[in-house]
Amino acid sequence: MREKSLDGSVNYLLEKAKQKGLETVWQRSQQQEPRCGFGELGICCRNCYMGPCRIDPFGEGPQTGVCGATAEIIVARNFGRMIAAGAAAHSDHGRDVAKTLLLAATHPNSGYTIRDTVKLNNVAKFLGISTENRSKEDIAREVAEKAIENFGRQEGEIPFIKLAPETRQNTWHKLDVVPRGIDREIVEMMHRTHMGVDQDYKNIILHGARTALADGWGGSMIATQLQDILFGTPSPIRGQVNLGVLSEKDVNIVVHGHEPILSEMLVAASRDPQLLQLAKSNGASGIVLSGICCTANEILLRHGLPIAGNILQQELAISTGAVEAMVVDVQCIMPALPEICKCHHTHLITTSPKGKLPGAKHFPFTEENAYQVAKDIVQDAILNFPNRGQVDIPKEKMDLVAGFSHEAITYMLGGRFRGSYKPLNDNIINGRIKGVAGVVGCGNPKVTHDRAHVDLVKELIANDILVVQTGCSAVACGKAGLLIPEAAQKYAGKGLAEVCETVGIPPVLHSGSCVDNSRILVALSEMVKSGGLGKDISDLPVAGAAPEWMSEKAIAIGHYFVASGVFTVFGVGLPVQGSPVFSDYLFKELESVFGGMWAVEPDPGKMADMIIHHINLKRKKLGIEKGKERILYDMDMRRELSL
Amino acid sequence: MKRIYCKIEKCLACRSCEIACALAHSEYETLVDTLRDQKGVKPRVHVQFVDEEGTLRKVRALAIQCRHCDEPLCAQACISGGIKKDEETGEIIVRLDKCVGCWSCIMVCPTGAISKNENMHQALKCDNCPDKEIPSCIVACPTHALIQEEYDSPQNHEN
Amino acid sequence: MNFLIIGNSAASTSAIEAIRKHDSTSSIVQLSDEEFPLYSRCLLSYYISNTIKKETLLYRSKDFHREMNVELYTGKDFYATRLDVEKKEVICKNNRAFSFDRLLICTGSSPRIPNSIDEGIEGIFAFRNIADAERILEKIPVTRTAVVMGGGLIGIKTALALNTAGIRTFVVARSNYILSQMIDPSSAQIVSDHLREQDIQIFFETDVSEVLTRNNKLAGVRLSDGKIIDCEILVAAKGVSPNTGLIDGTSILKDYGILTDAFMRTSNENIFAAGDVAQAFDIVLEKQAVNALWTSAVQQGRIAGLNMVGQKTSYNGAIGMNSLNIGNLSLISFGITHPIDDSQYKVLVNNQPQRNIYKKVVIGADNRIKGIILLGNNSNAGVLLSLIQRKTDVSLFEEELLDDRFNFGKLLKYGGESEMDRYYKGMY
Repeated sequence: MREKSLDGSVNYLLEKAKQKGLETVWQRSQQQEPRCGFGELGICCRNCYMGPCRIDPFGEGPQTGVCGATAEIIVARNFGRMIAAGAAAHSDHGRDVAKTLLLAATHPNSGYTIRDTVKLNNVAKFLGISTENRSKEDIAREVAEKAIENFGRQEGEIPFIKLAPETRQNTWHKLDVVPRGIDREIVEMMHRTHMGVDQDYKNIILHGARTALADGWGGSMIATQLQDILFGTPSPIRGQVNLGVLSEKDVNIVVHGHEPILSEMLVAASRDPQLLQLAKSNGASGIVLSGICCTANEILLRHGLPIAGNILQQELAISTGAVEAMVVDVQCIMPALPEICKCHHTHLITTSPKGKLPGAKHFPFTEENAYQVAKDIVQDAILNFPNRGQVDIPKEKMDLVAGFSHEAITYMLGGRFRGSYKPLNDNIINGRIKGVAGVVGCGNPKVTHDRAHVDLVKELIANDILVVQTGCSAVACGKAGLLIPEAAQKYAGKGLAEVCETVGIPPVLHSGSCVDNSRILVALSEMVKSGGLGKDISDLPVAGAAPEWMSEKAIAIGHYFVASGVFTVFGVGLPVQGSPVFSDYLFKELESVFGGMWAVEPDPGKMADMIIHHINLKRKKLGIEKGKERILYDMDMRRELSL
Repeated sequence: MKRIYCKIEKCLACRSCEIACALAHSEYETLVDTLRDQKGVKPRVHVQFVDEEGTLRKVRALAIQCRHCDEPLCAQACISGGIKKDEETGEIIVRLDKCVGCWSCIMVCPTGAISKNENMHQALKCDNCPDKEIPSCIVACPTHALIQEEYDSPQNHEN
Repeated sequence: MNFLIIGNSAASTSAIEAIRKHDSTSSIVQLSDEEFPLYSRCLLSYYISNTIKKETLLYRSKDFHREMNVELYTGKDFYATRLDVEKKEVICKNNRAFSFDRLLICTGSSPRIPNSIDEGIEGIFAFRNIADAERILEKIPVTRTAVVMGGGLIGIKTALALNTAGIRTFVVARSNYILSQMIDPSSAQIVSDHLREQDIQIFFETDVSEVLTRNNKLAGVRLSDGKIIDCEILVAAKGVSPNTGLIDGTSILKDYGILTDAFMRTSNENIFAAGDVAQAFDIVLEKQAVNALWTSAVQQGRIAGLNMVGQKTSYNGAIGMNSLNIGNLSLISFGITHPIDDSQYKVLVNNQPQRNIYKKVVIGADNRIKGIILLGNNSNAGVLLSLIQRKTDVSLFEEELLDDRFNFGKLLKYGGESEMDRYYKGMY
């Protein structure tokens, strides 16, 4: 049987859960087997009720839906809707951040403040907002208003695309895929994929690019930039990761979800002296706030607070019996949580009006009442501490360094006064670093948890490719010990290790949550602007990967990477493979349109081969191919990786 | 005799056969009514996971239904004498009026092809859709993975 | 050729069908001490609980013997009392003698009745045949409480039937857990809990020490711990022993039952035995054993019939197997489920008490499955049974055996080409 996870804590708790008869995502995944091939291949359409329709991929059965839609139309529409949903999720998150910034600027008692004025001024300048002789609140108000405008704008262009290299902007203009307003593009995608509208899969994918760009250079970008203004731009910070961070003697509150608007307030509330006193009087020595999923990344990056695990570990955290409250907001929260809470004392607390769960306690959280609600939640958790039953926390935990925003990378590489991407480019040109890969994305029980992330990243850094990470992928590699500077000596190739040691960075850079993939877009643009590596992102020796993806958000991210000129490989599979025509378009032809394209490869070893090959190709085109030979990984070495 | 077979490489595990089978054996015309039926409706074909060696996609699956075995263990195990092999057609027939739901047949069926209707205490299995020209699972299969073919018995095969 | 068959149940029926498949002319004479037409004993518990009608008890159509051209003699008079091996004849209670060329003994088994039990007392039953069932049915309307002696499969099935008939039922078990011949203590615990939920109370490690009567009618029982239960029905279900009386005084070899070879032949070449009375090869125990099971009786009867008619066919062997349903909780077990010496076996357990699932596989040192308990989810029980029957080496996939999804598909994977071939050719 396939092993469930690379992570010892997961396998340990799964064994325990099995003994206790608890059901987790892995059992449920197994119960879905065999999954429906039409769904997996993307060739079923439920967009209208003349259907549902399916295409026989073997060619004997129907080859069109009732309306006449071919396999490529069906997969393109489904794919387009996935992009729209993913972009909607990131962007709605961005909208809430913008509204919070507006609140912080206009309501001094809201509990939110503006922490990073340098970034505020930078963003303001970029948006053409005057900063002369103005209070930070006043500037922030205008920044927030400008940001909010982007969601509902009907014409024009979202401003952040101007962060991209000029050549890239020209490509977008030529293709007419520059996003106008964020909401508009998402709505238009829903319209185009309605029955009987856009029947040209290439056209759907073009609008898919526009929608995805509205996410990466729009919604996600706004979320990241404005979160930095509100809560501070991350800089390298030490932290710990894995379920071993849960504490036997403290009240454990796990925040799970995506938006730092909530978690930032919980961080503050967990340090409230009165509440700490209450914790003591209830028999705990203190309060430990840790995170799951992207919320975890947000509180790690800004406060150094521990990460309990990535998405697939959410049920297991509860199964330790040590969690007093799991506080959730939006995205990636499994509806199975109330069931596992029933067998433990853990209170499941929902906070967002957008995300409720029967069986959970709901604490209505708004930006206005944030601090009071946060305190109520912490108090609820403390009062639950005496109800603890048996506690079984796995030992596993690992140190990591995170917080590599593109600003931090600038500083690390160049120092305070001559901070730039020049040194990175120089090292790429001289071959010490072969290229850069962004490895991001979710966890998926269809494949061994964490394995593809860790195996891929190890092989890339061994071949002198600097890896930049976000989301659950970063957590996976963090748990595997790849996010500490010492990992350079242990796993990185000679050239990369040399650079890492000189600068004092790990070979794998944790840049944040999944909206923070926008940081990678900015970093790539900076690389182009620093010179020597071509004129466009598509000239750079870089690639993207989501080895264990599962969410629609991942598809949106993948497509904005591709539309920004990045070669992007997905693991697991892609629900477009039922149409060879469409697959060929995504996996081959798209490169001639955007300079970037999609690829699918479930095997991390082969995925590494593809990325290395692509990076070498780009180096060759740039005339910098010389350098040392790549380390060829044979099966034995790959097996070694897995240990 | 004619048996229903599944071409494993073509089965996409969509379970259309299961739905069509349940519907064909219910007293209702529509799926919605069938699912509302308090008597409990069960498919007599089961989509099962085989392995991860597929070509089009990783997963291989098959839809399995009664094999109408030569020496049916189910008929031997049946305590009510309700399961018999029809000597003419070779089909294994379950007489539901005799079935008491003891599940002895399930205890011995080597392919796990028998379903339990717990509400009615009845064992259900493939009857080759006697009233239909082509069994409903075959009609429903969107990839033509299911076929019905004349079975060349091992004895005939050797001769 | 003259065939003589003693007994009229599972083994004899399948023997007749096997003989007639190959020989439509030879004479078949059959003797049975029961008047009632061929019926299924296993259905009697369903009959007393009023779940089925009397007609449903019939195992074959009323015309079965006529259609099969069998000369059937029934009734107490035709109880076979003596076998003369030399003269090749069987003598009945009414002194009538029946001669044979080939004889099949399927005399079955009888309940073991403890000495403390007097069947002459109204309300005390040894539940064996349709006559007993009729007497119990008559008594049910005037019964509030019943006690079943014995926590084995028959005891529990009887208790469930009485419970379904609306009678408050107690089970007295001598062991410290029920179904001890069939399952292990952990699974028995789950079953006991379910019985308790159905309002069936079990007393463990005790026995009926005294029967209390009033006017020669049962009034109650005293248990060995002194506890008194007022009751109107007492059923003795302390297991069965093979009815080997017919061969007493002959040269035919017996151990616990009548010893048979792979062709269901006794030590006399013209005399065969099948069913509860026969001690035939057991696949798991790897020796001759008595398996008083319906399925074994049918299989053995068929093998005996085929060999009697000259179709040489050997018996693969019996496997202990039982199925029990308590409400919607279904239990199936095979072979050795609770080995005394654990060190000889590898035991794998999948226990999910919250979901009422308990599965156990006992694997021998030779990597062959020796026993299985499937409680809860057991729709693929037969797939696992086929692994025992075919003596499949399970070392490659033993971890998967207890998976809820272990099914025929998995078998195809691990069986490779030959299994695939078997599937396409329908060879089961």
